[in-house]
Amino acid sequence: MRIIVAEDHVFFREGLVNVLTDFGHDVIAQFPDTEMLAEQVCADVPDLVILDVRMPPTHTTEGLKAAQQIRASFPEMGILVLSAHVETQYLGKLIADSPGYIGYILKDRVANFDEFFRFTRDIIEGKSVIDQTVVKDLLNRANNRAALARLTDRERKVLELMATGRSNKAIAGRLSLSRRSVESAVSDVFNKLDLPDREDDQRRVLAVITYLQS
Amino acid sequence: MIALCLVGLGVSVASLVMPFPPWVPQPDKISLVLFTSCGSAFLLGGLLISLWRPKNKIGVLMIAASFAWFSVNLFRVNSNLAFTVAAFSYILYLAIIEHMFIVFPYGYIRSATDRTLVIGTYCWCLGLNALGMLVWDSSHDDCFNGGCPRNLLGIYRDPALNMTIGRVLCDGSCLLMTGTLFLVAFRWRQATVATRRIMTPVALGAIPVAAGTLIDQGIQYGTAWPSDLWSQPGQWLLLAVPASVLLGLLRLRLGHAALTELVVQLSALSQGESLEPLRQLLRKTLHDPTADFGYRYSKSAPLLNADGHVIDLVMARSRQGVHELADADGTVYGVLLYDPILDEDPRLVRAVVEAVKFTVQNKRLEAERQARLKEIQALTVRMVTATDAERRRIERNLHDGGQQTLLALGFLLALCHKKASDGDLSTLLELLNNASKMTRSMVDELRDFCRGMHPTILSEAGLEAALESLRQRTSLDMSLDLLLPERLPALAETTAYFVASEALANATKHAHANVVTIRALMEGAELVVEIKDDGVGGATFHDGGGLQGLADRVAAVHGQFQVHSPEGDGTRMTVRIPCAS
Repeated sequence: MRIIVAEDHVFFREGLVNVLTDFGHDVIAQFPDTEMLAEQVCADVPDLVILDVRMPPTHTTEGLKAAQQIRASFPEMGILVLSAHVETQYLGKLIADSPGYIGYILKDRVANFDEFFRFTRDIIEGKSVIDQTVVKDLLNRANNRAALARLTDRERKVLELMATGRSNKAIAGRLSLSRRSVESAVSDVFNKLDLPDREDDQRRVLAVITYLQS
Repeated sequence: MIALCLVGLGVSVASLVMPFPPWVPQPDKISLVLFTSCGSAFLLGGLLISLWRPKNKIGVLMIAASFAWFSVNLFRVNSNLAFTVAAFSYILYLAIIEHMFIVFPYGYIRSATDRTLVIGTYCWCLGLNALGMLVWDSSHDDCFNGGCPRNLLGIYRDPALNMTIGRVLCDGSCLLMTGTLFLVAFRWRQATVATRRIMTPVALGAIPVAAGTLIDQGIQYGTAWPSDLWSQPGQWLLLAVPASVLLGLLRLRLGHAALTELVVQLSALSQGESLEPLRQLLRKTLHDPTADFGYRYSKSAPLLNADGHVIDLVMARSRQGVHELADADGTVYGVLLYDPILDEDPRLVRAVVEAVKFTVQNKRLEAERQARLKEIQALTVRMVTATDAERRRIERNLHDGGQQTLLALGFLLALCHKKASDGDLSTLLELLNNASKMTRSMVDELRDFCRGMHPTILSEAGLEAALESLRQRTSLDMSLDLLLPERLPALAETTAYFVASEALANATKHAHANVVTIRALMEGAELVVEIKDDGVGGATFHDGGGLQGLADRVAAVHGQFQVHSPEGDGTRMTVRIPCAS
């Protein structure tokens, strides 16, 4: 996999590059900020861009903005946004604009190599990967509580897994349910949250996330 | 004073009952009573004024006029000496009355013109009269009924010359009196409103006085000299002198009655912002439309009047009466400005000052309180904002530093674990090396961070040691000049240290300084710290800026913070922190 890394913290960046290289990936460029990022992406299109949310100069949401910029030009390029903590302010728009090929995970996940590389693989295959912590955070938002209060425990669990991009089959396996029960739970969730049913797996996730952030 | 009263009484009684010798024409009873009353009125008026206002010489002058008036009675004594004295002094009262008009209401000569006028009047009356007496033989020339005692001054007899001199004297007296009338009228026109109030009775009184003199002198003109001095028809008009002078000075005194009204109104005065009602009240009480007052909102502020105009005390003193209102510790917080004529009644001014003082003081304290409250509110907002910014800084510091390093360390160790379990030892050593490098860096980072939060050395070894450690760590050429007790209150030490370290950081980062000097010493119960650098200067205060943060920090411990930072000429910060335990 050809990867570009943008991360301002030296140790983290070097460590990440170490890990990526060690797992046989090709880090074609690394940056401490987002200044040259877009240019580099245009010059030598990678499979995946990994970037931090907070970067110089303001240390707020430079990473997310850069990701939106790249997404506008390259709808099918893999983008993995890393965050030290849950940051959802601009995330909704980024996800809504993305037909998959997007990931948003906490930095903690990198140390779990199996999980991390499963995410990267999923992303460049066109899936959306959202960190579970972020999903939980969204579910706990006050403005969604009324709607979510109508969900049963099972429906809620199904929704959480659904939002992280899992298929019905995967959810059924995870929750030890029949595929039929999962399908009925999913349709109940869509009804209760007033979400129109879609065929596409990824659209499903995006719809849920976007709704939850509204 | 009692002696003077007795003498006066004696003179008045004597004037009434003393027998008239054959050479003096016997006046009718009414004239004699009128004559005595006129002299007594002068005496009484003079005594009253002297009692009220011992410093004002008008009273003395009036008593003198009374004695000059009564000296005519010496003509009735069968003695050459008494006769000579009477002939010399009988006209003196006119000069004294003019003197009084000229110096009213102050009682003393205030200009060279006045002095010339007064001296001229005395010389004219007494000198010319004495000249006439030199050529007058009273026992042979026409004099009263004839057969008078001898004039001791007569050295040569020349009745024609004597008559001429007598006429000139009459003309002159009339001229002087008319002149005085015009002078008083002119003075009145020039006077301030407050002065006019006192002068009006006198100005009006001068008219009958001048008229009386003209009548009397006109009758005497060309008649045998001296004529019947007890029955002069104009003499009763002279009563206007003591009456008008008394009335004038009494009007000044009437202000005291208005004081009661002032006190009542003051208590009803609204606590509003405007000081205009107070000023109007003051003007009404003092009968002085120019009266004003000024006060300061704070110790260093200029004196402002109710219109908000700055009062220039030097200029005010040259034109007006000025009374300063001072605190118990002598700090002048206000002034009362008034027509200088009111200084003629210092008790009135004093009483008004005492009455107004507390109102002005209240207003000032209220303004001070408001200003201080605003200051504290602004300070609170800035402190909260600063605390918030500080928390964000700490959060970012931990997030960008420690947390990232730990995360990196985490997956580096995970990588090591994977290598070790895979049996791939080739890069393991290098990875472990990296990991320990990260740990060391993390420890250093944390230590620096904690020192920034609160240096241990400051709490353990005190300000001097903390500043010394600051010196050892800085890249600048820094010298310390410290004269401090071993330990100071913790808050003072912390504040001083943070100002010093922030100033040092500024000098390094913004001012591009090379040399920094820090002086610290105790001045009484105050810790004074001065930090000077040779950098680019031009440091300014702005919200959220480092300087404002320091100023707030110092203000929070009731200290003072000063910055002198001219463009291109270094920066000097001076901090004063109270250390009273």
